[in-house]
Amino acid sequence: MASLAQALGSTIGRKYVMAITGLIWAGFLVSHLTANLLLLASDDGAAFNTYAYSLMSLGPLLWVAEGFLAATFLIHVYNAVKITMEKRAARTSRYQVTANAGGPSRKTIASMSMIYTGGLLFVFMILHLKGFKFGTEYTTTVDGTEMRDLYRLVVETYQDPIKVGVYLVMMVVLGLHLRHAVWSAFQSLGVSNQKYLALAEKGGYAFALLVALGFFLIPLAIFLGVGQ
Amino acid sequence: MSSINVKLRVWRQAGPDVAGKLVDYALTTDSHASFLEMLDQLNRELVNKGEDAIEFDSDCREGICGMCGLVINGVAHGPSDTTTCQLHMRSYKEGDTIAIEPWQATAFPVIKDLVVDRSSFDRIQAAGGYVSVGTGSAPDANAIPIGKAVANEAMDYAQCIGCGACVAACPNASASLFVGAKISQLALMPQGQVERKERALGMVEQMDKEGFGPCSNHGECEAVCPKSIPIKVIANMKREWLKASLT
Repeated sequence: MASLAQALGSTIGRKYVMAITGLIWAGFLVSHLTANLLLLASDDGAAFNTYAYSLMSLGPLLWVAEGFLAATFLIHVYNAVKITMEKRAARTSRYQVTANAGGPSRKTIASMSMIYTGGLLFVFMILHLKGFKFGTEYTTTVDGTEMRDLYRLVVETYQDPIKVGVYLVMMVVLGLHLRHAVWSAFQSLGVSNQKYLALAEKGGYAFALLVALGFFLIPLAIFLGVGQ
Repeated sequence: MSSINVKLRVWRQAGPDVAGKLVDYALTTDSHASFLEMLDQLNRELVNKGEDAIEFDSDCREGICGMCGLVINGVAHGPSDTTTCQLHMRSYKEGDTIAIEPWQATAFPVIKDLVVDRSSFDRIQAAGGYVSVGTGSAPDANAIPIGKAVANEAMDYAQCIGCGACVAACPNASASLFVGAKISQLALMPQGQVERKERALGMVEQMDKEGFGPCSNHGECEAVCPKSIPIKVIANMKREWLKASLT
């Protein structure tokens, strides 16, 4: 039996880590998107702010959750960089002519650009946290409870066409990343049952489309004043 | 018999440690010629002119030995359903340009021109791709009970001829399809159970040591594999490796 460090540092171990941390983040995206749908509730943000308030009221539990997400994110990024370095070292002399073999190949723009879409998402995450989590602290009162008015911050942010534009482009990037990521994670985890893998493949594409589209439509709706 | 004019762009590299480049040749050949016969013909012309022949690998020329292998217009084994030797010039049109390159991977260093050193595959095989139980003389057909479906699946994986097209086609130069095929095949058979864990760990460790890249699930390997080995074997390899690592 190899040591844990050796196992996690092998090419297969790295992919297990990528798959698990990636799927954790895919799960987070679902909860994030679900919560964001509250932005469209036409209640001046009462539901959205109340939900955010309930999360913030968790105190230490929230820090644990945030720490867990941050750790899995950074582990994902670290392994992505290592994998990219390993694959570049594995072929130093490049082909003069390249083509896709077609047929059963899953090679796409999405699969070939994971490190770039991932890098863009990393930068976006920092800006996203800076703009919202660490953004302007407005306050509001819902049912007699004073709480942070995140809704106002979101609505104000998405009046700026440049910010909306950047956000929309980034959601296409997210969709591309997820298109290869989700089914690929199941393959990396060793799902060899062909029925389940086919399901993971179709499900993964649908997941990528739905999540990216959901995140895409919300700021667009706010910008266009739909559901306000 | 019908002749065809093609423009060839062939990778010429004098040795392992020198830079290579594509060199252009014009050739009139026969549309019934196999791809390798076409290269034989070009070599004859080159030798007659006093030039160095283009080095390329081939052996059985019937698609079963795994010796030949060229990246043709960016695709390993080109448009052939199987190996390069089974490709014929009738697959090309008059005036086509055909770029011919060797497998490119750090673990497959070019020896000369289109010939690469694939001994890294042998070392992976030696790291666990065998059974060391005494098999004696051929047993009776029904002495080892193996279901038909399992036998078929093991045979599908056993078809791997170790040509290396999977590595050549992989954007990461990963050997996962090759190693996955070997591990999957033996994991299905009773004879393979004794060394099952050591095999998975040993072959994966050697694969990494040889400098093959990680698998990113692009699936190009499955598309070029002359024996149509599916990437399912890669998922199998991962399970086998995980089970062996955890116990």
